[in-house]
Amino acid sequence: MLLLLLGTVTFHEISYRQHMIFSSNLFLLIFLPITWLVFIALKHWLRAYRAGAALLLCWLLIASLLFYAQWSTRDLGVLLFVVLVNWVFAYLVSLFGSRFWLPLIVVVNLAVIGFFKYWPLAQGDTSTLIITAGLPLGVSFYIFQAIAYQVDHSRGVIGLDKGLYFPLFLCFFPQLIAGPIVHGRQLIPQLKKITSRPIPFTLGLSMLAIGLAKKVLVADTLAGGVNAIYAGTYGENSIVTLAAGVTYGTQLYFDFSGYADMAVGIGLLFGLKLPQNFNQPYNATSVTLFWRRWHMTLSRFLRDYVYIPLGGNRKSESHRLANLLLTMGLGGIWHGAGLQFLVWGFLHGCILSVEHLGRRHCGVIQQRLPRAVRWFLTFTVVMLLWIPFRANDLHHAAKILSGIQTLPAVVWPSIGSVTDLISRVDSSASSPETVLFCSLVVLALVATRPTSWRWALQASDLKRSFTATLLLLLVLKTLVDRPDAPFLYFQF
Amino acid sequence: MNEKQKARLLVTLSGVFLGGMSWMIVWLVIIALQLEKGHPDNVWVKDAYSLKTRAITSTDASPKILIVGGSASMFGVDSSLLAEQFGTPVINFAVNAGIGTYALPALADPHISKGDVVLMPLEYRLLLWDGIPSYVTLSWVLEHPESLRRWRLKSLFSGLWQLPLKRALASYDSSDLTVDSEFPYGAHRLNSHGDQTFTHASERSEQQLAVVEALEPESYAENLINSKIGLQEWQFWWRQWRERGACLLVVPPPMLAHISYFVGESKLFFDSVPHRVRHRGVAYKGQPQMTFFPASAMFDTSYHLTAEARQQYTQWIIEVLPSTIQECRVPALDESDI
Repeated sequence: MLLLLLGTVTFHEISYRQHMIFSSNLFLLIFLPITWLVFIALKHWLRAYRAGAALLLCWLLIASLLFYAQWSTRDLGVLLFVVLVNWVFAYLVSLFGSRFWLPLIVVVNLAVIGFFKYWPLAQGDTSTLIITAGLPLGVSFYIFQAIAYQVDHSRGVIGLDKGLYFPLFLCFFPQLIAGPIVHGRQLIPQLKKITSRPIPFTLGLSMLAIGLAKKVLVADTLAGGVNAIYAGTYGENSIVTLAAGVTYGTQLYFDFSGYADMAVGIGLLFGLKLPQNFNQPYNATSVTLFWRRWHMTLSRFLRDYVYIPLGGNRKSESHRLANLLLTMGLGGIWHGAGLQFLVWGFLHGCILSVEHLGRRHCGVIQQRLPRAVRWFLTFTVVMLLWIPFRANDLHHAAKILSGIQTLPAVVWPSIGSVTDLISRVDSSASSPETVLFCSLVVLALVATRPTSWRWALQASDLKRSFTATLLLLLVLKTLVDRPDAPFLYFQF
Repeated sequence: MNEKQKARLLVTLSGVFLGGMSWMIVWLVIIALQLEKGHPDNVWVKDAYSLKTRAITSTDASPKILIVGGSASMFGVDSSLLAEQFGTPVINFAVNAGIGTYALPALADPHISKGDVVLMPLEYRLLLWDGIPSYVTLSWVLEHPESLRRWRLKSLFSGLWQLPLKRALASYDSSDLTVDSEFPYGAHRLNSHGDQTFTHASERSEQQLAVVEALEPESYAENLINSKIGLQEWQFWWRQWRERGACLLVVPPPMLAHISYFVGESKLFFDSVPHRVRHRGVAYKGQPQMTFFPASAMFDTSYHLTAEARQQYTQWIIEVLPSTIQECRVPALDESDI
């Protein structure tokens, strides 16, 4: 009956509204509360029964599939296909060994991404960075999870258990659509003890609230101005170029790290700990350190399942650099099928290579550079490299970047009063200077603060519940004024 | 639940309470500190009401016909034609239905005297309002908070929640509080009776016509079929005006027709309007369907008639008004050569 209620409410609501995302009223006020309350009730009533764990997992799986199905039943079909095929292959690996079956399942998994993501490009359609009707939501994330699971399973790091552990590991709704990329060895042991795991309620709620605030109050607010900059509204000059990089970099960070915080928070509400995905990446003093702090689960995946199997740093210098370039190039095209993603990844790979060579041959000189200089160089490079990432194509990126050599007509016009700033910043009519200023202010504020996770861990229950309530009300109020927007990483 | 768990729960709930209260207090302070401050949204409405008030005060003759409503009446009634027909002053006191059911009748109230005929071609959302304030209503009440004392709790809470932060902050900045002469609404577009001018079909742009033709039907049947707050509010004022000796008449406003209004739930809604008004003790003449107009007759919205269609609507009012005047037994008007 509860299942019927959840299903009916979900599909009735979405027939009149947009799709349900974490920052929507539908998710926050209906789907999540119902799913959580039923979970808690089942956990309390069934903890003494042997079948209790199975029922809990069943409930979570159904809720996850309902959550995904409301986006697209076709995408649900793709997800279920991936789950089934991977489960069958894992079983075959268990029976017959991994020599033949592991490469085959990796190829099958990559073929799924390849078909939906890169086939249009092969057909001559070079439009990218647009959510196409064909790309199943989250496919890049759960396919990588499936690959990681197969590799770990073949190495004996994790077994194939009967029951719902594997399907739920792949389909668990907090991380299904935009990560973090979770390993089976991280999540499945937790699922096995789900009935006895504690629920850190205020910790989970505060992470959810902080993530929501990052997304709705910061990222979505900057979106109008960012879109206007990339639409060419303000022409090309050095301020526009800087703004294009910094504002999009800020928007992307708050959007994606906000989602990651939400995913962690929601997981905690169900007693499950998901890995962190960001660790103040814009504080990094080198691009190497940046990649250890940005989308950490993807970086680790690329390191563990691409870079190291290619040979990593175990072979010659040139081999290592080639591995680095290839890994970062693959990381680039994971984000999208366009050439600009490949260039973006490749450029990062080049910089990583330069840094590596610099450490190896000029380490003393590098260390003597003041920290502030190293930070400034890293920040500037990383931000400017977001331009090809966001641009429609390479030509568009080059056009924006070319503006760096043109001084603006007015060096820095008046920003206006604080109330005027707040009134204008989320408008598509907001000037590049306004959005750039706001982005820098926000980045400066978070640079000196601990990460969301560290703050939430150290805070008392009172502080967490106070902050969560305040932020949730601010977010819900903002959603009244402004419709909820999809997460940027949904398109990957 | 053991003692430790109870203590944690209490601490958590305290945090929730404090967080909620903090948000509420800050929000209320932001709103309170900018009450009565001017805002560009309201300038043209205030200017229009000023002109119409001057028109009333400069009219010595009594009784008069006072048209109360929103912009449907401002565009839709030819006050000169009415004045000619009934031989009595006519002031079109209608401006903008958006300011809402709490504010609009209160603005007309000081100008209604014994023997006046109050003609009300009220827009349906104004008449049958469900209590949820629109942005325009909120923007108006922030500058004119005197009507807040009549606000129901439902409207207050809804308004507090829906008021955009931008609007709440906007009044803190000194803004240009003048109306651009090109703006289509305002005192500069009214004649001496308070009727909207420059509304001939030839003065309508292609874009304006395209907008009208693309308008979707209103969802009155969904939202207003069981609403009570609007009628309760009007009833409050109608009682006062009747006690004062005024003659009241509600008529359907001119409105853009849609095929969906003639079938199903929409038809039921429009059919119910006369009965719902009469149930509140006020005369209602005609049926809503009598005052539906095609897109070609609308100027720029689903309620604004062109000057040509205005003649047609006013003629219809001329036909229904005399019987009401007789029912109200208003001798001065009753004796006029109608």
